[in-house]
Amino acid sequence: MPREDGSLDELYAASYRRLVAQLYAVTGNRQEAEDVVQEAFMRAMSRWSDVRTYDNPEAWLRTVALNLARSRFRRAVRGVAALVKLGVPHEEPELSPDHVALMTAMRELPEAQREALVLHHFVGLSVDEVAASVGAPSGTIKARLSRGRTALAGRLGVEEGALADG
Amino acid sequence: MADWDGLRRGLESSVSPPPLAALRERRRQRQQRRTIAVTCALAMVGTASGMALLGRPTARDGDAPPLAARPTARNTIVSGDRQPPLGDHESHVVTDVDFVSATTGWAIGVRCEGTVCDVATFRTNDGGRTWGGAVDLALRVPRASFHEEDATGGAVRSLRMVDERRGYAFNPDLYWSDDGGETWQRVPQPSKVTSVSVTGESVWVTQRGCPRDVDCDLAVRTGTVGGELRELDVPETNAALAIVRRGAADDGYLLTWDGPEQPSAAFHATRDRGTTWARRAHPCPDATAAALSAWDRVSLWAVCTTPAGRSSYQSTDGGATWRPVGTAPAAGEVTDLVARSGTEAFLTLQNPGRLLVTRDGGRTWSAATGTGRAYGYANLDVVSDTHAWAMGDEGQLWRTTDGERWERLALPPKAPLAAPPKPPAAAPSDTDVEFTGLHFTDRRTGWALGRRCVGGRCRAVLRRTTDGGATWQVANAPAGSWRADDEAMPPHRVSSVAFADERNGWLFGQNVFATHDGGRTWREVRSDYVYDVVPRGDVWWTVSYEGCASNPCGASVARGATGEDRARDVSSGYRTGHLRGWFDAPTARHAYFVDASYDDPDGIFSPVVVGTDDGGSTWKTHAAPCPDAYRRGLSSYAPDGLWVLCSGNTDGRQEVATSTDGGATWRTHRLPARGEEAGELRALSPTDAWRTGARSGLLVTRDGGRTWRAAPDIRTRVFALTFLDATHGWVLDRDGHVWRTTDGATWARLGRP
Repeated sequence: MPREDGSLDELYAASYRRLVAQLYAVTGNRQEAEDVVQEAFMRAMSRWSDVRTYDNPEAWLRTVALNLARSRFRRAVRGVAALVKLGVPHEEPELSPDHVALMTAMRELPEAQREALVLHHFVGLSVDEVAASVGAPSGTIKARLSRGRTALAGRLGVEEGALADG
Repeated sequence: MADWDGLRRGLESSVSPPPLAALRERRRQRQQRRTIAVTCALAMVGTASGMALLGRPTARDGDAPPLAARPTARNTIVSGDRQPPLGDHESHVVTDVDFVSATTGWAIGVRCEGTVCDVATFRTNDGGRTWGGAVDLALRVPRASFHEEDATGGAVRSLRMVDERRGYAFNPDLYWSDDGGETWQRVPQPSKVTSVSVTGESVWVTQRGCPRDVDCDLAVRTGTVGGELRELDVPETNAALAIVRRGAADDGYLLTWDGPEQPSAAFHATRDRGTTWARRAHPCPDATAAALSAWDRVSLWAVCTTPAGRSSYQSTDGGATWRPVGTAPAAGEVTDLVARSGTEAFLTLQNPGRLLVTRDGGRTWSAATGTGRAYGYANLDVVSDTHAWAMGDEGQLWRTTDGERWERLALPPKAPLAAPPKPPAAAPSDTDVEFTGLHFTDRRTGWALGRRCVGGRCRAVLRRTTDGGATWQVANAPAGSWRADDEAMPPHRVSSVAFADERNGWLFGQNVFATHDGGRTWREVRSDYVYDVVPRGDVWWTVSYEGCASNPCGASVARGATGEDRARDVSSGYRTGHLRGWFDAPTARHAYFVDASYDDPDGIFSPVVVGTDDGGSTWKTHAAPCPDAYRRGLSSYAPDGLWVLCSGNTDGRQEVATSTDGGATWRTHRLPARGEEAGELRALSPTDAWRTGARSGLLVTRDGGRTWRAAPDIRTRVFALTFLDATHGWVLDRDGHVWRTTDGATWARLGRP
C-alpha cells in the first residue's frame, strides 16, 4: 500500500495549532491540550490509511483528542491515576484582558457545557454536528449551550445575547 | 459580545507545534515496547491455512436453491462473491459450519422475512449429529446488508471458530465471541470482511480495501485473536481474484489472477507476518481459476484451471519453484482445496458438486466414498487425519470420522443439542477474571463483579454466592464487551456491583445496568459515568459524572425507587453543581457528599460537606474538615454520623475526621501513615471504622479514629470493602480472593469467586 505521510505532514501543519487551541478552550489546561492532540496525531499515524480517506480527518483528530481529555479527567476523578492539578496551568498564553476573562469564565462551567460552547462557537460546528461529535441528542446540546451561555453571561457581566456569536 | 474569533487567534498564536518527526519517534519507541510485549505473548504454532477471495460476482441460475453454503474463512475457493439466495424461510438457513475438534462445532444460519433477517448460531457437541437451539447473533439486520457492498449493516453468514471459546462470525460484517458463541460482539470494520484466518494466536482478516466499491484493492488486517486489527502492507492488487493462504503464523502467500478476461497473475510470499512480501513464481500464470493450500510452512499445493484443463502443482520451497504433479477432473468449478500432505488432498467442486480425494500426490482423483449429489460442495473443514466435514451447497452436511468413508448428517435446527461430552469448567477455575466489585446483601448472599479480557476485549463477569462467599456460582452479566486498551471509558465497562435485595441490583461504571429479577436479565438504565450506586431501603442513590469545571470535576446526585429504572436528579438545586464524587447515603432520605466550591471571591479552594435529610429536596452545607487536603473519602453510618478520610495534604500527612451532627462540627485525628494514598473508608459507628491503604492492608479503629490497628491476617492490598455491621464484612484482594470476617477482628481468606 502506498504511504502518504506527506498528507499527514500537511494535516499536522494545518491543524495542530487549531486543535490545541480548541482543546485548550475545552480543558482549560494548555499542557493537557497539547498532550491529547499529540496523542491523537500519533493514533492517526497508526491508522493513516483509514484516516486519510475520511471526509474530515481534522474532525476525527478532534474527537479522539476530546475523548482522551474526558478520559483523563475521569481517571483523575477516580483517583486511580495522577491527581488532577489544582490551580492555573503554567505557560499561559498572552491574552487580552477580555480573553482572559472569557477563559476564566469558561473554566468555571461544567465540562459538558464548556465543550458544547467551544465546539459550537469556537470551532464553528452546527448544533447537529456538536451533537454527533459528543454523542448526545441535539436537544441536549441546545440545553447545554443555553445554560452555558447564561452562566457565562453572568460571570462576564454581559447580556446573554452577546455570547451567541462571535 | 464575546470575541470568540479573537480568543481563537490568541490561543492559536501561542502554540508552537513540535516537529512531526518527534511524534513519529515517540510512536516508534512505543511500538517497539509493544512489539516486545506482544512477541513474548504470542504462541506461534500450527500450520492452519486460510484464504480470501475477491472477485467479480459470478452469475448463477436465478432459481437459487433454498439452502446455500457460503465460502468459509479457511478453505473455500469460489469464482467471486455470490449474493446469498436468502428467500423467506420460517427457520434458519444454515450458511456455514466450523468445527474445532472431532465433536465440537458451530453452524451459522440466516432467517429472512421481508426486508430484514435474523442471524443465529448453533452448536453441536457430538460431531454434527445433533445441534443446540439458536443463539441470536444479530436480529432484524437489513436484508440488503448481506450484499457485498454493505460492510456495516450487521449481516454475517460465515464462521471461523478459534477454539471452544473464541471465534469470529463474518462476511460481510464482523463479530467476536469469547464465550463459546453464547454471546457475540460486533467489531466494526471499515470494509467488507471476506475471510478470517487464524494461526496460533495470530489472525488475518482479509477485506476489500474500500467500504463500498466492489472494484478495490485487497486489504489484510492482522492482530492477536480477539484483539485490535491493524492493516498489513500487502502487495497492491486490484486483481479480480485473490487468495491469501497461511503456512504458519509468520508465513503467508498471496495468489492473484484476473480470470479469463485479463490473464495476468502474481504470487507473493511473506516470511515475517506480512510486513514484507517477495514476488515468487506463479504456478499457473494462465489460470482462469486457481486454488492453493499449504500443508506446512513451505509446502504448497495449487490446482489451476486453464482453458486447456485442470492441473495440480506442488512447491516445497515456499513457491520459489513449482512442479506439475498431475491433472484433475475438469468438470465443475473448484470451490476448495485442502492438502493434508504431499500425497493426500481434498478437492471440492460445484456445478456439478463433487468431493474428490487424491492419495497419490495428485496423479489421480476419485469421489470420496459416501458423498452424495449436491449442486456444489463448499466449506471443507478438516480438523484431523480422520475427522472432516463438508457442507453441500444445498444445505447438506457430510462427515468422515476415519478419513475414508463419509456420512450425511442433519443440520440445525432439526434436533436438540446433545449433552456436552464434558461439563463446562467450574467457575472457581476462572483465574483470568479480574474482580473489581463486591457486595453483600446479607450474611449469606453476595455478588462479585469482574472482567475477563481475551485478545484485547473485555467482558463483565458476575458471580453469586449464597453461603457467605465460601462458594460462588456463575451469574448472568450484561453481554456487551469493550476494548481493553480503550481509555475513553467505553460503554459496557462496569466495575462495581450493588444489590438492594435478592431481586434488585445494579452494575455500574461507564453505564448503569439494573436487574429486577435477581440478575437473570440486565437492562441499561443510565449511560452516564457513575461513581457509585447506594441502595438504601426502598430507594437507590446514584452519583454521576457531570464534567469538570476548571477543577475539580463535578458530579450530580440522583435518587430513584428500588425496582424502578429511573432515578431523578436531586442535586440540580445545589448552588454550584461542582460536586465531588465522594458520596454516601446512610438512609433513604439522608445523603452526604464533599464539594469543592469556587464561590470564594479570591478563588480559594473551599471544600464543604453537603448533606440532605429530605431525599435531596434541600441541601445544607458545612465546612469540610482538613481544608488543605486534596482527597476526602466520606462514609456515613447514621443520619448524622459522618467520617471523612483526608489525604493529599501539602505536607503529606493524613487525617481522619468524625462528626455526629451531620458535619456541623468535626473531631480530627492525624493518621500515622504519611505519603500514602488514602484508600477506602467504611464507617460503622461513632467509634468503629475500617480503612484501606496502599501499604497498610486493612486497618481498624475502635476509638473514633485516634488509634488504628492493622488486621493481622491480611498482608496484601485490599479493596471493595463491604460491611453489614461491626462484625460481618468482606473485602477483595489483588489476586481476586475474597476475605471474610464474622467477628469484626479476624479475617479468613476464601476462594476466588
